[in-house]
Amino acid sequence: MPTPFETLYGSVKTMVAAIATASGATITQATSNYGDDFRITPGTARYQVQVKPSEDWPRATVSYPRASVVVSIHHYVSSLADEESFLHVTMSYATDSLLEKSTWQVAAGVFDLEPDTEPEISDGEREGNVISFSFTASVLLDPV
Amino acid sequence: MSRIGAIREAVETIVTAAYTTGGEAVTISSDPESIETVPKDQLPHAVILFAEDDPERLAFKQQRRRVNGQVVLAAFAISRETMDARIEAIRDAIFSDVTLGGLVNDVTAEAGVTISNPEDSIVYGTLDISTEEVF
Repeated sequence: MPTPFETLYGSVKTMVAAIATASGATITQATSNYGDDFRITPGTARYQVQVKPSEDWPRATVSYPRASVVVSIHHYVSSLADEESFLHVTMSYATDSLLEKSTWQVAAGVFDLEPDTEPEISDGEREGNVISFSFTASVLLDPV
Repeated sequence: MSRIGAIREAVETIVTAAYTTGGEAVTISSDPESIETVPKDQLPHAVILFAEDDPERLAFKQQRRRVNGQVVLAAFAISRETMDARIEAIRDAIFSDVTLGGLVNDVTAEAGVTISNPEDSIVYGTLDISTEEVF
């Protein structure tokens, strides 16, 4: 039986896949969820998912597993028009989805976002021809 | 043709066009010593030199490579202002297509004009050019 964190990992990947489907973009998972030692082809995007378990969150008599999730999206900009399209379409879908509390709430295994927290998006960064954004959220998982 | 050769050729075309527009012909060489030895009756003369730096490693297995170069112009008995205008025209032409027809991602250029020896009436203009490409 998968742990709540494994379930969350799979759910987040499904969420990103839904963004790719909705936006029509090619977003595939990077060969590693850590670091930047992988290649991105022009005009395409890669994503990474990092799930960091943290201390359980107690509510009444129940302890909810808690995790910090980081979704990074990296896009190889092949032209200014391509960058505009990526920001206008793909990142709009990603922002609408991953900053929306209900997106996380409906994900399998996720009980709720951690109270008094909101999903956040980082500033964009550019390295060579690749622009990157990260989304972070602190989520509570269904108790085992 | 090598990439550095293609960049040099693109700049050579711009230099030639700058003179053609002014109704002049220019001789062009890649020999840096020629700027000192070319006979006065063969002026104006240009030397175009480029060299490639070692690539810089970037994230996501990208590399940034820079090709740096210099255009040196020599002309006989013209004013500093005329040389300045010629150099500026070449720089403007480069900046009108900062990818050099898609060869690079970006180009920067810095211009300067010097008068070597007032007695020989030769005026020099220089344009330092740096191109970069990420691949």
